[in-house]
Amino acid sequence: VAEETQYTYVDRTAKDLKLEVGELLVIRLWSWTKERLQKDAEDEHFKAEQTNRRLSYYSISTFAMPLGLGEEVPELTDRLVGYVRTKRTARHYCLVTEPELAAAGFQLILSGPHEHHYDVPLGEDRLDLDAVAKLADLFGTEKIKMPR
Amino acid sequence: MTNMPFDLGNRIEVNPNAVHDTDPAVYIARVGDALRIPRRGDVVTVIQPEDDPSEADYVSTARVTDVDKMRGLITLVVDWQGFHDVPRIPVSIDPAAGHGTFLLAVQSSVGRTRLFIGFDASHRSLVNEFLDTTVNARSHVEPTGDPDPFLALTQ
Repeated sequence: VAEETQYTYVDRTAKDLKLEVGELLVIRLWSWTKERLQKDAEDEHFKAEQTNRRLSYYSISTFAMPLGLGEEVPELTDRLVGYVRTKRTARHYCLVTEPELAAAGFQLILSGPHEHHYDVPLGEDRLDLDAVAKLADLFGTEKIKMPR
Repeated sequence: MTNMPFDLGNRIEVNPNAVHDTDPAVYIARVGDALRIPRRGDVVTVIQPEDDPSEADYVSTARVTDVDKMRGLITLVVDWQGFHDVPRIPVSIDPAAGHGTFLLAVQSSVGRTRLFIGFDASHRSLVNEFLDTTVNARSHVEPTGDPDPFLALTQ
């Protein structure tokens, strides 16, 4: 539980998200505290092992879509949120860009079966807790209200 | 008067970001994510617990399609579109009321509690359990607007 975290609640992001055509806008739903990300990564690895699906890495899940030709980031945001709403719902979400993740050393790996579902690897043989904390910081403290 | 979160009965935590890698129609939870191990066919509450304690948890329902205790996994079909805030019920509690039980007065917020309408059949029993175990007798519930508070909660 992130009892020390002070969130900012908004209807639309106040971040200046910069993307080139083809770069991904990433959405994370519900919760992205480091405790939550750690549990998610451990859970996904455990479930994969138990169902004989050997993941080659620890990871957390996100959805993402690339910026289209002639598309502005707010339009992409609406498209991404609209798509995710058809699959999953949460009260809040946060946004981060593929370049922001890449600059911090993170990868995005298309993982399916939904066409816009991506893993963010967080260690191979063991879960990298420093990377978990860094990713939680990158997701930030802005909670954007998900439309119902 | 205080606001109490409604007793949701058995509940299983789910992560809306996670997707089964071959079958998007199902969600796999760990046994440890459940308050109690359900049985196949159960309809359970699924919950996205809120980080911020001032915010209500987000809940919906799911049908349990498999329970694999050996592997520690529960397979669910989640109503992802059905998530909503946990209703809070304004109640007044009088610990002095009879045999150590509480006296619960269901106030004029019955409209809010009707958010549970259509949840699933198990919620009738959950409400019943909540009233019976907490209040210890249905007759201890004092209506303040509806002639039958139990029906007001469950219909």
